[in-house]
Amino acid sequence: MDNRRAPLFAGLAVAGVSILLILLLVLPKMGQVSQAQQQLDQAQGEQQTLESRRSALEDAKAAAPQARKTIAEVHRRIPPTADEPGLILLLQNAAISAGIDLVSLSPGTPVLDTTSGLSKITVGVSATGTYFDVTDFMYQIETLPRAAVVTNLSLAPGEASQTGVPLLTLTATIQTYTSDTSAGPGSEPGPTSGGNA
Amino acid sequence: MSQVNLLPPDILQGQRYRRLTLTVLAAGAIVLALIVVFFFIQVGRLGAVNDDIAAKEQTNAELQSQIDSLQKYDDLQTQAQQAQTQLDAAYAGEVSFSGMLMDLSRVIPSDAYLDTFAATITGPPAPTTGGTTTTTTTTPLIGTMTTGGQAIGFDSLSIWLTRLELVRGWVNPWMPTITANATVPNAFTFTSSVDLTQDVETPRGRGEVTAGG
Repeated sequence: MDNRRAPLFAGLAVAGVSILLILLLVLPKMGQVSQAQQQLDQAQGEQQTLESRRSALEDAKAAAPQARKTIAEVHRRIPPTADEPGLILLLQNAAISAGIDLVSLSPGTPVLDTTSGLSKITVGVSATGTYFDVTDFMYQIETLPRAAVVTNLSLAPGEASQTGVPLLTLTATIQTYTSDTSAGPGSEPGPTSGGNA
Repeated sequence: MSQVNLLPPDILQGQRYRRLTLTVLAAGAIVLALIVVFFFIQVGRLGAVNDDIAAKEQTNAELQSQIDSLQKYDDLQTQAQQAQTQLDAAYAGEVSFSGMLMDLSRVIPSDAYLDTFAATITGPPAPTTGGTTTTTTTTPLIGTMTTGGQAIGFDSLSIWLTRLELVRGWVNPWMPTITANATVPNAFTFTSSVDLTQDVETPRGRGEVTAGG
Protein backbone atom coordinates (compact mmCIF):
# COMPACT_ATOMS: atom_id res chain seq x y z
CA MET A 1 0.00 0.00 0.00
CA ASP A 2 2.80 2.45 1.03
CA ASN A 3 4.90 1.48 -1.93
CA ARG A 4 2.11 2.28 -4.30
CA ARG A 5 1.69 5.80 -3.00
CA ALA A 6 5.38 6.59 -2.59
CA PRO A 7 5.81 8.01 -6.14
CA LEU A 8 2.74 10.16 -5.62
CA PHE A 9 4.04 11.48 -2.30
CA ALA A 10 7.45 12.04 -3.81
CA GLY A 11 5.90 13.96 -6.67
CA LEU A 12 3.77 16.03 -4.34
CA ALA A 13 6.76 16.75 -2.11
CA VAL A 14 8.88 17.83 -5.07
CA ALA A 15 6.04 20.02 -6.38
CA GLY A 16 5.52 21.55 -2.95
CA VAL A 17 9.18 22.33 -2.48
CA SER A 18 9.38 23.70 -6.00
CA ILE A 19 6.39 25.97 -5.41
CA LEU A 20 7.84 27.13 -2.13
CA LEU A 21 11.18 27.88 -3.74
CA ILE A 22 9.52 29.77 -6.55
CA LEU A 23 7.28 31.74 -4.22
CA LEU A 24 9.85 32.49 -1.55
CA LEU A 25 13.03 32.87 -3.56
CA VAL A 26 12.59 33.19 -7.30
CA LEU A 27 9.58 35.49 -7.60
CA PRO A 28 10.82 38.07 -5.02
CA LYS A 29 14.20 38.09 -6.71
CA MET A 30 12.61 38.53 -10.12
CA GLY A 31 10.60 41.42 -8.66
CA GLN A 32 13.79 42.99 -7.38
CA VAL A 33 15.40 42.56 -10.77
CA SER A 34 12.39 44.14 -12.48
CA GLN A 35 12.42 47.05 -10.04
CA ALA A 36 16.16 47.53 -10.51
CA GLN A 37 15.69 47.43 -14.26
CA GLN A 38 13.13 50.20 -14.00
CA GLN A 39 15.58 52.23 -11.93
CA LEU A 40 18.21 51.60 -14.57
CA ASP A 41 15.85 52.72 -17.34
CA GLN A 42 15.05 55.81 -15.33
CA ALA A 43 18.75 56.52 -14.81
CA GLN A 44 19.36 56.04 -18.53
CA GLY A 45 16.55 58.45 -19.36
CA GLU A 46 17.96 60.94 -16.90
CA GLN A 47 21.38 60.50 -18.47
CA GLN A 48 20.00 61.27 -21.92
CA THR A 49 18.29 64.36 -20.58
CA LEU A 50 21.46 65.51 -18.87
CA GLU A 51 23.57 64.84 -21.97
CA SER A 52 21.14 66.82 -24.07
CA ARG A 53 21.24 69.64 -21.55
CA ARG A 54 25.05 69.54 -21.44
CA SER A 55 25.16 69.62 -25.23
CA ALA A 56 22.95 72.70 -25.27
CA LEU A 57 25.12 74.34 -22.65
CA GLU A 58 28.27 73.53 -24.61
CA ASP A 59 26.66 75.24 -27.59
CA ALA A 60 25.95 78.19 -25.32
CA LYS A 61 29.59 78.13 -24.22
CA ALA A 62 30.72 78.15 -27.84
CA ALA A 63 28.41 81.09 -28.47
CA ALA A 64 29.57 82.93 -25.35
CA PRO A 65 31.98 85.29 -27.16
CA GLN A 66 29.17 86.32 -29.51
CA ALA A 67 26.79 86.72 -26.57
CA ARG A 68 29.30 88.95 -24.75
CA LYS A 69 29.74 90.96 -27.91
CA THR A 70 25.99 91.35 -28.25
CA ILE A 71 25.62 92.47 -24.64
CA ALA A 72 28.48 94.95 -24.99
CA GLU A 73 27.04 96.28 -28.24
CA VAL A 74 23.57 96.67 -26.73
CA HIS A 75 25.02 98.40 -23.65
CA ARG A 76 26.86 100.75 -25.97
CA ARG A 77 23.70 101.52 -27.93
CA ILE A 78 21.43 101.56 -24.88
CA PRO A 79 23.60 102.83 -22.03
CA PRO A 80 22.76 101.96 -18.42
CA THR A 81 22.35 105.65 -17.59
CA ALA A 82 20.73 108.48 -19.51
CA ASP A 83 24.18 110.06 -20.07
CA GLU A 84 22.82 113.35 -21.31
CA PRO A 85 26.30 114.92 -21.71
CA GLY A 86 27.31 112.09 -24.02
CA LEU A 87 24.05 112.39 -25.94
CA ILE A 88 24.51 116.13 -26.47
CA LEU A 89 28.06 115.58 -27.70
CA LEU A 90 26.95 112.85 -30.08
CA LEU A 91 24.32 115.10 -31.61
CA GLN A 92 26.74 118.02 -31.80
CA ASN A 93 29.35 115.84 -33.50
CA ALA A 94 26.75 114.59 -35.95
CA ALA A 95 25.78 118.17 -36.77
CA ILE A 96 29.42 119.20 -37.24
CA SER A 97 30.08 116.18 -39.41
CA ALA A 98 27.04 116.96 -41.57
CA GLY A 99 27.80 120.67 -41.73
CA ILE A 100 24.60 121.96 -40.22
CA ASP A 101 24.18 124.46 -37.42
CA LEU A 102 22.30 123.26 -34.38
CA VAL A 103 19.88 125.91 -33.21
CA SER A 104 18.31 124.12 -30.28
CA LEU A 105 18.29 120.81 -28.52
CA SER A 106 15.53 119.92 -26.10
CA PRO A 107 16.04 116.54 -24.44
CA GLY A 108 12.86 115.49 -22.69
CA THR A 109 12.64 113.77 -19.35
CA PRO A 110 13.16 110.02 -19.73
CA VAL A 111 9.91 108.10 -19.69
CA LEU A 112 9.83 104.42 -18.81
CA ASP A 113 8.26 102.18 -21.42
CA THR A 114 7.00 99.22 -19.44
CA THR A 115 6.70 97.07 -22.55
CA SER A 116 10.35 97.20 -23.50
CA GLY A 117 11.70 97.98 -20.01
CA LEU A 118 13.61 100.92 -21.44
CA SER A 119 13.41 104.59 -20.63
CA LYS A 120 12.74 106.65 -23.72
CA ILE A 121 14.37 110.04 -24.10
CA THR A 122 12.72 112.23 -26.70
CA VAL A 123 15.03 114.89 -28.05
CA GLY A 124 13.71 117.78 -30.08
CA VAL A 125 16.29 119.11 -32.51
CA SER A 126 16.20 122.32 -34.47
CA ALA A 127 18.92 123.17 -36.97
CA THR A 128 19.63 124.93 -40.24
CA GLY A 129 21.43 123.63 -43.29
CA THR A 130 21.13 122.82 -46.95
CA TYR A 131 18.98 119.97 -48.16
CA PHE A 132 21.89 117.60 -48.55
CA ASP A 133 23.43 118.70 -45.24
CA VAL A 134 20.13 117.80 -43.62
CA THR A 135 20.18 114.46 -45.43
CA ASP A 136 23.69 113.84 -44.17
CA PHE A 137 22.65 114.83 -40.65
CA MET A 138 19.86 112.28 -40.76
CA TYR A 139 22.39 109.67 -41.88
CA GLN A 140 24.70 110.63 -39.03
CA ILE A 141 21.82 110.21 -36.57
CA GLU A 142 20.96 106.81 -38.02
CA THR A 143 24.54 105.63 -37.64
CA LEU A 144 25.19 106.99 -34.16
CA PRO A 145 26.88 104.55 -31.78
CA ARG A 146 23.90 105.09 -29.50
CA ALA A 147 20.42 103.92 -30.52
CA ALA A 148 18.59 106.89 -31.97
CA VAL A 149 15.45 106.74 -34.05
CA VAL A 150 14.01 109.73 -35.87
CA THR A 151 10.24 109.73 -35.66
CA ASN A 152 9.42 113.14 -37.01
CA LEU A 153 11.12 115.46 -39.44
CA SER A 154 9.95 118.70 -40.95
CA LEU A 155 11.73 121.11 -43.22
CA ALA A 156 10.84 124.70 -43.95
CA PRO A 157 12.52 127.40 -46.01
CA GLY A 158 15.13 129.41 -44.14
CA GLU A 159 17.41 132.23 -45.02
CA ALA A 160 19.85 131.91 -47.85
CA SER A 161 23.45 131.25 -46.91
CA GLN A 162 26.31 133.65 -47.63
CA THR A 163 27.03 131.66 -50.80
CA GLY A 164 23.45 132.02 -51.94
CA VAL A 165 22.48 128.39 -51.33
CA PRO A 166 19.01 128.24 -49.79
CA LEU A 167 19.03 127.02 -46.24
CA LEU A 168 16.35 124.90 -44.65
CA THR A 169 15.15 124.99 -41.11
CA LEU A 170 15.01 121.48 -39.76
CA THR A 171 12.85 120.36 -36.88
CA ALA A 172 13.18 116.74 -35.85
CA THR A 173 12.19 114.47 -33.03
CA ILE A 174 14.69 111.82 -32.08
CA GLN A 175 14.10 108.95 -29.69
CA THR A 176 17.02 107.66 -27.68
CA TYR A 177 17.03 105.09 -24.93
CA THR A 178 18.59 104.06 -21.67
CA SER A 179 18.17 100.83 -19.76
CA ASP A 180 17.98 102.93 -16.58
CA THR A 181 14.37 102.47 -15.57
CA SER A 182 14.56 105.45 -13.24
CA ALA A 183 16.33 108.22 -15.09
CA GLY A 184 16.14 111.96 -15.27
CA PRO A 185 15.32 114.68 -12.74
CA GLY A 186 13.86 113.38 -9.51
CA SER A 187 14.86 109.79 -10.19
CA GLU A 188 17.05 107.49 -8.20
CA PRO A 189 20.66 108.38 -9.09
CA GLY A 190 22.74 105.82 -10.95
CA PRO A 191 21.70 102.93 -13.13
CA THR A 192 18.61 101.00 -12.16
CA SER A 193 17.13 98.28 -14.23
CA GLY A 194 14.62 95.54 -14.42
CA GLY A 195 17.36 92.97 -13.87
CA ASN A 196 19.41 92.75 -16.97
CA ALA A 197 21.30 95.99 -17.32
CA MET B 1 12.67 -23.72 -24.16
CA SER B 2 10.17 -21.71 -22.19
CA GLN B 3 11.30 -19.38 -19.37
CA VAL B 4 9.72 -19.51 -15.89
CA ASN B 5 9.67 -16.38 -13.68
CA LEU B 6 10.08 -17.46 -10.14
CA LEU B 7 9.96 -13.88 -8.61
CA PRO B 8 6.71 -13.31 -6.77
CA PRO B 9 4.52 -10.68 -8.49
CA ASP B 10 4.17 -8.46 -5.38
CA ILE B 11 7.95 -8.17 -5.03
CA LEU B 12 8.23 -7.30 -8.70
CA GLN B 13 5.56 -4.66 -8.31
CA GLY B 14 7.33 -3.23 -5.25
CA GLN B 15 10.51 -2.94 -7.23
CA ARG B 16 8.62 -1.07 -9.95
CA TYR B 17 7.19 1.42 -7.45
CA ARG B 18 10.61 1.99 -5.88
CA ARG B 19 12.08 2.66 -9.31
CA LEU B 20 9.20 4.97 -10.11
CA THR B 21 9.66 6.77 -6.80
CA LEU B 22 13.37 7.17 -7.45
CA THR B 23 12.61 8.44 -10.94
CA VAL B 24 10.15 10.99 -9.58
CA LEU B 25 12.66 12.08 -6.93
CA ALA B 26 15.41 12.35 -9.52
CA ALA B 27 13.18 14.44 -11.80
CA GLY B 28 12.19 16.57 -8.82
CA ALA B 29 15.81 17.09 -7.91
CA ILE B 30 16.51 18.24 -11.45
CA VAL B 31 13.56 20.64 -11.32
CA LEU B 32 14.70 21.98 -7.96
CA ALA B 33 18.22 22.33 -9.24
CA LEU B 34 16.91 24.26 -12.23
CA ILE B 35 14.91 26.51 -9.92
CA VAL B 36 18.00 27.14 -7.79
CA VAL B 37 20.09 27.82 -10.89
CA PHE B 38 17.42 30.22 -12.15
CA PHE B 39 17.42 31.90 -8.74
CA PHE B 40 21.18 32.40 -8.87
CA ILE B 41 20.89 33.74 -12.41
CA GLN B 42 18.42 36.29 -11.06
CA VAL B 43 20.81 37.12 -8.23
CA GLY B 44 23.53 37.66 -10.80
CA ARG B 45 21.27 39.82 -12.97
CA LEU B 46 20.25 41.89 -9.96
CA GLY B 47 23.88 42.48 -9.11
CA ALA B 48 24.69 43.45 -12.69
CA VAL B 49 21.74 45.80 -12.91
CA ASN B 50 22.64 47.37 -9.58
CA ASP B 51 26.18 47.86 -10.84
CA ASP B 52 24.79 49.49 -13.98
CA ILE B 53 22.59 51.74 -11.86
CA ALA B 54 25.55 52.76 -9.75
CA ALA B 55 27.57 53.49 -12.90
CA LYS B 56 24.73 55.52 -14.39
CA GLU B 57 24.27 57.48 -11.20
CA GLN B 58 27.98 58.19 -11.16
CA THR B 59 27.81 59.34 -14.78
CA ASN B 60 24.73 61.43 -14.07
CA ALA B 61 26.43 63.06 -11.10
CA GLU B 62 29.39 63.96 -13.31
CA LEU B 63 27.05 65.29 -15.98
CA GLN B 64 25.18 67.34 -13.41
CA SER B 65 28.47 68.73 -12.17
CA GLN B 66 29.44 69.70 -15.73
CA ILE B 67 26.02 71.26 -16.24
CA ASP B 68 26.38 73.27 -13.06
CA SER B 69 29.72 74.57 -14.24
CA LEU B 70 28.28 75.46 -17.68
CA GLN B 71 25.13 77.09 -16.32
CA LYS B 72 26.74 80.54 -16.39
CA TYR B 73 26.88 80.35 -20.20
CA ASP B 74 23.17 79.69 -20.30
CA ASP B 75 22.61 82.74 -18.13
CA LEU B 76 24.88 84.71 -20.45
CA GLN B 77 22.87 83.54 -23.43
CA THR B 78 19.65 84.60 -21.72
CA GLN B 79 21.12 88.02 -20.98
CA ALA B 80 22.22 88.39 -24.59
CA GLN B 81 18.75 87.46 -25.81
CA GLN B 82 17.15 89.96 -23.44
CA ALA B 83 19.60 92.63 -24.56
CA GLN B 84 18.86 91.85 -28.22
CA THR B 85 15.13 92.04 -27.48
CA GLN B 86 15.63 95.47 -25.91
CA LEU B 87 17.64 96.65 -28.89
CA ASP B 88 15.00 95.34 -31.28
CA ALA B 89 12.36 97.18 -29.26
CA ALA B 90 14.41 100.38 -29.39
CA TYR B 91 14.83 100.23 -33.17
CA ALA B 92 11.38 98.81 -33.89
CA GLY B 93 9.78 100.62 -36.79
CA GLU B 94 12.89 102.65 -37.61
CA VAL B 95 12.72 104.48 -40.90
CA SER B 96 15.73 105.87 -42.71
CA PHE B 97 14.99 109.58 -43.09
CA SER B 98 18.22 110.11 -44.96
CA GLY B 99 17.07 107.51 -47.47
CA MET B 100 13.67 109.20 -47.62
CA LEU B 101 15.24 112.57 -48.43
CA MET B 102 17.49 110.96 -51.03
CA ASP B 103 14.48 109.28 -52.65
CA LEU B 104 12.64 112.58 -52.59
CA SER B 105 15.48 114.35 -54.40
CA ARG B 106 15.52 111.58 -57.01
CA VAL B 107 11.82 111.64 -57.87
CA ILE B 108 11.14 115.37 -57.91
CA PRO B 109 10.68 116.65 -61.47
CA SER B 110 13.27 119.07 -62.77
CA ASP B 111 10.71 121.84 -63.12
CA ALA B 112 9.44 121.62 -59.57
CA TYR B 113 10.80 122.35 -56.15
CA LEU B 114 9.70 121.80 -52.58
CA ASP B 115 9.59 124.42 -49.89
CA THR B 116 8.07 122.39 -47.09
CA PHE B 117 8.52 118.83 -46.00
CA ALA B 118 7.17 116.93 -43.02
CA ALA B 119 7.25 113.23 -42.23
CA THR B 120 5.89 111.54 -39.17
CA ILE B 121 6.28 107.91 -38.17
CA THR B 122 3.42 106.77 -35.99
CA GLY B 123 4.05 103.03 -36.12
CA PRO B 124 1.64 100.37 -37.29
CA PRO B 125 -1.93 100.59 -36.00
CA ALA B 126 -2.91 98.14 -33.29
CA PRO B 127 -4.96 95.27 -34.69
CA THR B 128 -8.62 95.89 -34.10
CA THR B 129 -10.69 92.95 -32.97
CA GLY B 130 -14.41 92.96 -33.36
CA GLY B 131 -16.19 89.94 -31.96
CA THR B 132 -14.56 86.83 -33.33
CA THR B 133 -13.09 88.43 -36.46
CA THR B 134 -9.79 90.27 -36.62
CA THR B 135 -9.37 93.04 -39.16
CA THR B 136 -5.88 93.35 -40.62
CA THR B 137 -4.48 95.02 -43.68
CA THR B 138 -1.79 93.45 -45.80
CA THR B 139 0.34 96.59 -45.81
CA PRO B 140 -0.14 98.47 -42.56
CA LEU B 141 0.56 102.17 -42.77
CA ILE B 142 3.17 103.43 -40.35
CA GLY B 143 3.28 107.11 -41.12
CA THR B 144 2.76 109.94 -43.55
CA MET B 145 4.90 112.32 -45.50
CA THR B 146 3.57 115.68 -46.66
CA THR B 147 5.28 118.09 -48.95
CA GLY B 148 4.54 121.48 -50.40
CA GLY B 149 6.17 123.31 -53.29
CA GLN B 150 5.91 124.88 -56.69
CA ALA B 151 5.81 123.30 -60.14
CA ILE B 152 5.57 124.47 -63.70
CA GLY B 153 2.53 123.07 -65.47
CA PHE B 154 0.07 120.32 -64.72
CA ASP B 155 2.33 117.77 -66.42
CA SER B 156 4.93 118.36 -63.76
CA LEU B 157 2.36 117.93 -61.03
CA SER B 158 1.17 114.69 -62.59
CA ILE B 159 4.71 113.39 -62.99
CA TRP B 160 5.40 114.24 -59.36
CA LEU B 161 2.42 112.21 -58.18
CA THR B 162 3.33 109.32 -60.46
CA ARG B 163 6.93 109.23 -59.31
CA LEU B 164 5.99 109.39 -55.64
CA GLU B 165 4.29 106.04 -55.98
CA LEU B 166 7.33 104.47 -57.61
CA VAL B 167 9.29 104.59 -54.37
CA ARG B 168 9.05 101.39 -52.39
CA GLY B 169 6.89 101.88 -49.33
CA TRP B 170 5.32 105.13 -50.53
CA VAL B 171 1.65 104.62 -51.27
CA ASN B 172 -1.53 106.62 -51.73
CA PRO B 173 0.04 109.77 -53.21
CA TRP B 174 -2.45 112.62 -53.04
CA MET B 175 -2.40 116.26 -53.98
CA PRO B 176 -5.17 118.02 -52.06
CA THR B 177 -4.38 121.56 -53.16
CA ILE B 178 -3.21 123.00 -56.45
CA THR B 179 -3.24 126.75 -56.72
CA ALA B 180 -2.14 128.86 -59.62
CA ASN B 181 0.70 131.22 -58.83
CA ALA B 182 -0.47 134.78 -59.39
CA THR B 183 2.96 136.11 -60.30
CA VAL B 184 4.51 133.32 -62.43
CA PRO B 185 2.55 132.15 -65.48
CA ASN B 186 1.78 128.41 -65.61
CA ALA B 187 3.26 127.93 -62.15
CA PHE B 188 1.32 126.20 -59.41
CA THR B 189 1.65 125.95 -55.70
CA PHE B 190 0.80 122.48 -54.46
CA THR B 191 0.75 120.29 -51.42
CA SER B 192 1.00 116.52 -51.59
CA SER B 193 1.06 113.62 -49.26
CA VAL B 194 1.96 109.94 -49.31
CA ASP B 195 1.31 107.21 -46.81
CA LEU B 196 4.28 105.18 -45.65
CA THR B 197 4.08 101.41 -45.34
CA GLN B 198 6.30 99.01 -43.41
CA ASP B 199 8.36 98.62 -46.58
CA VAL B 200 10.16 101.85 -45.72
CA GLU B 201 11.42 100.40 -42.45
CA THR B 202 15.10 99.60 -42.23
CA PRO B 203 16.18 95.96 -41.72
CA ARG B 204 17.10 97.05 -38.20
CA GLY B 205 13.60 98.45 -37.75
CA ARG B 206 12.17 95.11 -38.81
CA GLY B 207 14.33 93.28 -36.27
CA GLU B 208 16.39 91.55 -38.95
CA VAL B 209 19.76 92.73 -37.70
CA THR B 210 21.40 91.31 -34.60
CA ALA B 211 23.78 93.26 -32.42
CA GLY B 212 27.41 92.25 -32.45
CA GLY B 213 27.00 90.23 -35.60
